[in-house]
Amino acid sequence: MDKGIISVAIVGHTNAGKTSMMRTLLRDQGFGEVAISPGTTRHVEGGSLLINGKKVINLYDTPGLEDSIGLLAAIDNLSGGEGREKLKRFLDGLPPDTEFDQEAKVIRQLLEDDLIFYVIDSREPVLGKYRDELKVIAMSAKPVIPVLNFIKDEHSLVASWQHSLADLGLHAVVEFDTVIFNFEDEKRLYQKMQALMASRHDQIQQLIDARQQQWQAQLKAARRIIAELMVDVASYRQEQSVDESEPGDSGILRRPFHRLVRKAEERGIHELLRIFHFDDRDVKNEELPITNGRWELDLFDPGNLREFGLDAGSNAAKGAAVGVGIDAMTGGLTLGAAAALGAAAGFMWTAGRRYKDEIASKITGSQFICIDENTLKILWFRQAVLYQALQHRGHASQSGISIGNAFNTQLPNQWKTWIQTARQHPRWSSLRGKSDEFFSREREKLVESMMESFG
Amino acid sequence: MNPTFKQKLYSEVLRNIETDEPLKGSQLIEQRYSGQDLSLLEKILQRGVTLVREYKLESVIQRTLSRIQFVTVGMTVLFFLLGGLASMQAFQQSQTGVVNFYWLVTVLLGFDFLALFIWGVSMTVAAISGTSMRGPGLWVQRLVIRYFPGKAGEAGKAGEISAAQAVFSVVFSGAIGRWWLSRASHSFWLAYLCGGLLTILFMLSTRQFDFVWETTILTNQTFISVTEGLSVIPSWIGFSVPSAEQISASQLSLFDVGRGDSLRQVWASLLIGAMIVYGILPRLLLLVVSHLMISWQQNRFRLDLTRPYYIGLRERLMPAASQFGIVDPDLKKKGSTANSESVRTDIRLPEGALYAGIELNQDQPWPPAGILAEDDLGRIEDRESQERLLRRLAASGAKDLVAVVPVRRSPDRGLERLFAEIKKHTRGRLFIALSEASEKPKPMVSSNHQQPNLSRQSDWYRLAMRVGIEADAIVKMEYSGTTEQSSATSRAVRNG
Repeated sequence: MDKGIISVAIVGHTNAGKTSMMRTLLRDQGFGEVAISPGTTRHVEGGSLLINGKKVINLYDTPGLEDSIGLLAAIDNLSGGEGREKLKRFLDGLPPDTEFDQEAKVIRQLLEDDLIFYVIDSREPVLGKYRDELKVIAMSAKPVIPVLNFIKDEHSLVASWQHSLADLGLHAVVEFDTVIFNFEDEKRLYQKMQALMASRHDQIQQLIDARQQQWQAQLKAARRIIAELMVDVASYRQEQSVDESEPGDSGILRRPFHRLVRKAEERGIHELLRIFHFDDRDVKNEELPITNGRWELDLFDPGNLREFGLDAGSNAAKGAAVGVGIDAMTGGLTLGAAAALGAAAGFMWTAGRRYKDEIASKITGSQFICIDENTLKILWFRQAVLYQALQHRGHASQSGISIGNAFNTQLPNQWKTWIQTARQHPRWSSLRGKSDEFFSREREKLVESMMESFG
Repeated sequence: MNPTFKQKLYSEVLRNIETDEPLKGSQLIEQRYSGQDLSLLEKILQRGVTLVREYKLESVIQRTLSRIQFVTVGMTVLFFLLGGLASMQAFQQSQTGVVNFYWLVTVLLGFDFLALFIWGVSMTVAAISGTSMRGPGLWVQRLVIRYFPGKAGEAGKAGEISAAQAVFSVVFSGAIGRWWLSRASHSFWLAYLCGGLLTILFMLSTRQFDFVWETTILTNQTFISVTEGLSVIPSWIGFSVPSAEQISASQLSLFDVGRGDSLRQVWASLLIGAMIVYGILPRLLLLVVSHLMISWQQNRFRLDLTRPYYIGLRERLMPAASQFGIVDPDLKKKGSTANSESVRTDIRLPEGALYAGIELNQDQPWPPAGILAEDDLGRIEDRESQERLLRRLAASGAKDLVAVVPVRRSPDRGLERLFAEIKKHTRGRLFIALSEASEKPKPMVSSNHQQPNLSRQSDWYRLAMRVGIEADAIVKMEYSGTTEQSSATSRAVRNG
């Protein structure tokens, strides 16, 4: 065993969720094999938790203890020796074809590892066989943390387990549901380890900090994915000539348009799942219903006016400054004229640049279609549901997350402003490739404001 | 450009290119770093450098940077020429060789001051609001990207444009961009002033000018004090400046061409001094400051490692968990026994049998209604009760035994051993009654519960087979303590 690495044996009755716990702690759905039948894991398999590429904790997934009553009887029948000594003698005396083959593997881990997680299916009553398991574990004289699994289940008997564990002198109990994940519970698990292994306090603290940091980074990245998706979709617009946009008509332009939006959502979901170490099978996706809205230039829209006024104003100032420069360079003879002209040019430049498409469309008689606000709302709610679900999903979960078309959450306060801002900047959308305005600070500000609304 | 900033720039370029999927071959490069003792950032940067080289993006990035440089230098040259032209023009207003000194100073320095003022204001505003003054930067960017040479490298034309976009987004973003634009504007104006100064020197050396001043509404004293104020700093560094008496003598109406020589000298010296002290030196200083600020900001530049792209890279370069496989293998593979159960008809539990409750749920009442006290063998849940059960069985004659066990209980080897022993000690028939939880599962979770129970059932069949209990001795039992005839409610188990 490497020195410095804390080794932890995960033991428990068969089907208590040991491999599930490994999966959730390692954030790895591919670890081992999980099934409802007893004796699914029949070997000892390991995984490590790392900080900056260095192993800190080795976790050993063990086969389930199945016949603890028989095992304890067999051990008790041995004469002489106490505790650890007795367990060693039991292992040495085992015949090669022993029925206690799995239990022997567990006992070997009990003797070798530094700490023991005893996983309990909290839906089970406190039966004699579990008490006998704890008696065998106690013989190894290692610190034990009982881990109550499936606590979120309606049949969970947490209180009665806690009571019985206390009777056995085990107080450092952790509630940790491997299916319905809660990051704070995981932190508490490590903190209990700290309490039981004082000499490794700092090492475990580093692990807690690293995990916390990663978790925060994951959440932030997830929020960014959602915000970027919203900006991309909300700001997107597509030109369509007027005769194509009759009501009830699903014009040629629309199908690729819908596909584009759906693909963007799929990509966002895929990325979100990847951030939390899940794959596409973990989500049952219902197709996003999309409706089109039309976008027409309304210069008297307050948002529009503000945008226009502010931006044109600043460009007029820049234009004037350039004009002043020209005046200066020509020896001041054009003083005034160039500055005024510059201001005018700056203003026109802004107006022309920002609204040239709209003006062109007025002339050519085409319209812009963009994503309808209801669709955007549904898109937002779906992502919000997924974001919440992913935070509470253990890597042992077998059923998929369903993102239907939920309307249960409140829209953020700034929603209207966001959508208006996004719609005024069609070039912020990267659905059809990135333009240089994609990188603008203003777009980034909108994205950040959306990210913050998740709190 | 300092080397780590350049490496970060490379990583940002790759981030922009790899939005959809990692570049081919990146996996191999990433594996190279897996064993090395490097920090995450070091790994990301080295990966960036290697990939950028591999895809020949370095030249694209370099080309973009040198194009920006080219535009800047071009503008600087233009400003130099303009500065020359402007001062030439200012001198040319007089054909007579008499030049209005203040008019000249305003042309040469006034607009420079105005531009400096505008710069100061916009820097303050931008620093407070956090925006990047991207307007002019965007203009350079469009110019460069639109006319980007079409020689597509390995990353393709799209890759090159993405690379160039990323370069701009980093070079012109935030504080770096602000100071970059500041440096450009200071170098333009410095060039303008230098052009002006050179022209002045040339003009003053080759032609003869008399400097005068005139006014309609201001007093003479104003001009004297303004000129003296202007002279303070140039005189410190050794430029000769006009005395009060000389200033008065230069008023247009009092001007006497006869004593012009000495006057010309001091005014020319003041003009050059003012150009250097108020124009060139401040701009030079600000140029140096901007340059230093750029390097400082480049040093401060951090990759945002909480972006989804870098989170993904972290997974690959520095995973937080790893598997190390099987350390204690299972040598005795248990052959899975096939269950060949067919659909069964009702099985009636025997009358007058013994009943034992094995590992019952806590809320499960015992004994079931209708069982005689002498037939009740009690709850069996630990070693003592197991031993008691076996003793009582041995003493109970040839009665049948119904062992009630919750179907949820996992049919583990401990139960298998117990059932084998019960079987050995029972002289009558042994039935296993799988009891369901007394309350029905709620509809919302039913779909999830049905599956596990079915698979548990077949696990129980397998156990029964191993200990030699016939499949038709397994029944499903739904009972609660109050229902009168538990045996009557038992019904067949369908096993699929």
